[in-house]
Amino acid sequence: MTEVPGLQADCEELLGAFREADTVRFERFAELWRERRFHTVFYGRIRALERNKLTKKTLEVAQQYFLPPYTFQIRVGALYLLYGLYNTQLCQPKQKIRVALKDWPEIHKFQQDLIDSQHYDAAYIFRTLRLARAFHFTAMPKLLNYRTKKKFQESECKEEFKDPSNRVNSLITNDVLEELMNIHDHYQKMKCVISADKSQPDKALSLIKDDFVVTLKDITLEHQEWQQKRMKLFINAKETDEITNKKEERTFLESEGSERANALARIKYRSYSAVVEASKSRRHRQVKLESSESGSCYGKSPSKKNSRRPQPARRRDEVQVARETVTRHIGMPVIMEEDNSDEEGVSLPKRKRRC
Amino acid sequence: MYNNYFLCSSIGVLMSSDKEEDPDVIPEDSSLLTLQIRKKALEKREETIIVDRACRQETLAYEMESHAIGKRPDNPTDQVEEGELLLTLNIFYPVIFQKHKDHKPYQTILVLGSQKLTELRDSISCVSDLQIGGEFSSQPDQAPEHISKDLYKSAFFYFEGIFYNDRRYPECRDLSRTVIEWSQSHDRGYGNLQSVKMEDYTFNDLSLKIGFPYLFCHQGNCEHIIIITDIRLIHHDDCLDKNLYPVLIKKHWLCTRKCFVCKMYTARWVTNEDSLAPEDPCFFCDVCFRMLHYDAEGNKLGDFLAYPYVDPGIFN
Repeated sequence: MTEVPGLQADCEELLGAFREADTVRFERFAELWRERRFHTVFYGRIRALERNKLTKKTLEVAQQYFLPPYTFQIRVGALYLLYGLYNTQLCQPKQKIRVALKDWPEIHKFQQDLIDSQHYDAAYIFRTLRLARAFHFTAMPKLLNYRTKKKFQESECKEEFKDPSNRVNSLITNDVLEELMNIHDHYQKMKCVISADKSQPDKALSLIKDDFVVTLKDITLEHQEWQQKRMKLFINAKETDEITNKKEERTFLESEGSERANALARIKYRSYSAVVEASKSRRHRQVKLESSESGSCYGKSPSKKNSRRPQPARRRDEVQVARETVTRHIGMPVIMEEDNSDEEGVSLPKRKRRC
Repeated sequence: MYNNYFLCSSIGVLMSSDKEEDPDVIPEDSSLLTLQIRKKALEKREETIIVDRACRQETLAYEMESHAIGKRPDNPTDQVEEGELLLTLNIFYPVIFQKHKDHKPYQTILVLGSQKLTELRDSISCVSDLQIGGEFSSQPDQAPEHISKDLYKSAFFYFEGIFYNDRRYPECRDLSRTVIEWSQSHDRGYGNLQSVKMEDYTFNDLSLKIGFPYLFCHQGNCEHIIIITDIRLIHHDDCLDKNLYPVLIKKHWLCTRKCFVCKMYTARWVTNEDSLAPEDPCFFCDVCFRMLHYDAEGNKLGDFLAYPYVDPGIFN
């Protein structure tokens, strides 16, 4: 069964507060429960099939704290927690609490302890659960399921290592565009050679759009822009996600790398394009890029499709692409780019440090 | 003695006093991390989803899971007794597609401890049981009446070193004999393998491991892995009608292969070495098969071999 994210933290928080209250009275637990409005943990627009799974998993998480080696107070808290969750669940018929054969003597002893120490409220709660038939008496504590590990890791990665799926850019790369341009030029030249007028090809030979490479490049850039807009939306949504610093750095690094690769692709093809508009908009985009990089770039752009390749390899690839394009860029003597190269220069050492 | 009267209303104590709460709506100001995460996930789903309702596979899955819950028999003698054990078995499909390498499809069956092994054997539905053997290109109308299930009745279960063979009918053979002889011929390290009759044993008589793969073999070579995922005591909310067990609660949805021509109907014929077909093997529904391969008088056109085909998705 898939995990219920955040549930363990919430349960531990509640049990921790109960422990600090330094009592085993149900009233106190109920107060803490009400404060947090814990019964809403089942809320949300979920259909019945998923709700069953969710509830089963919730009870399973809570049930862990009911058994040794947890302290007496935590175990009583877990008993109250199970009682609360069992009664406030939304499934019909109710999902049950699993009790394994090996744990039953232990639980029985626990109940006896409660009665002997005169914690009658806890004993009563337990008895109520038994009478309500809240338990499934099972051979093994956990219900087996056969989700392979691979799937688990993938979904974890998806949560935290959102990859900007630059599939368009990885297809229409620098090299591809360059090759296309070369072939296109060569083709134009050939047409001229066999035409009557050597300076331009015959009208009869115009079978393709002359500017198709430029159009292709523009389309790629438009896609890039759209992706960035989406990423911004996603970043805003993701700001409260718990991601460790290391991962932050890595994702920052990766987005930097891929961003730079695309930025450089754009710079490079400016020299092939006669469209002034493009260069202006590109420079404008350049500025945007920097600000989004230096800003809270914790999140990743959402991947449209599931990427099946292992994560580390992909990161390495993109960083390498960025590195390659950077070295090539340094060799290009174009005046306009000096501004950009400075900006790139500033961020380059930053990147090196992180490496 | 503690005040039990107070505790009687304790459930009310746990709920909010505000009765007009809608469980579909996540409260804005919740301190629970679970809800915050869930809210984001749901919102994200809202953004991308086009049609928000259960697809038919989900509806089927939910129905299967819950259709037997709480059922009671008409006849009280058919009621499951208290203290009865309920086993949950995963029976894997024998298909070996490339895409199933990591995640083999299976069906889940609930069975009572007091039931005989033969009852489980009868309830396992496998497409190989429905196969019709033989080549019928010359006489397509004469597909025989006997399906493989009727012809080859032998089967066995293998649990913990013992083969439980189905010997109810005279046609049944001991399929496990080959294995036992092989194991005894040299010291292969498998200990003493035994062969007994399936119909003499119930699940309560067996010692089983949970999560360990066992085997069910029928049709001579159609093998299914069986894994027991859970054993527990029967519960008040379970289905208590003995006649409904073994009950199927989960099944893998297999897409049916459609006719190559019309792409609408499920394939019922498969041809090999067919001069009229673009690929080998090629699948046809009944109508398209006859239209392509036979003329108006029913004469066979061209060269081909034709076999009746039963699609694994037939149990959907």
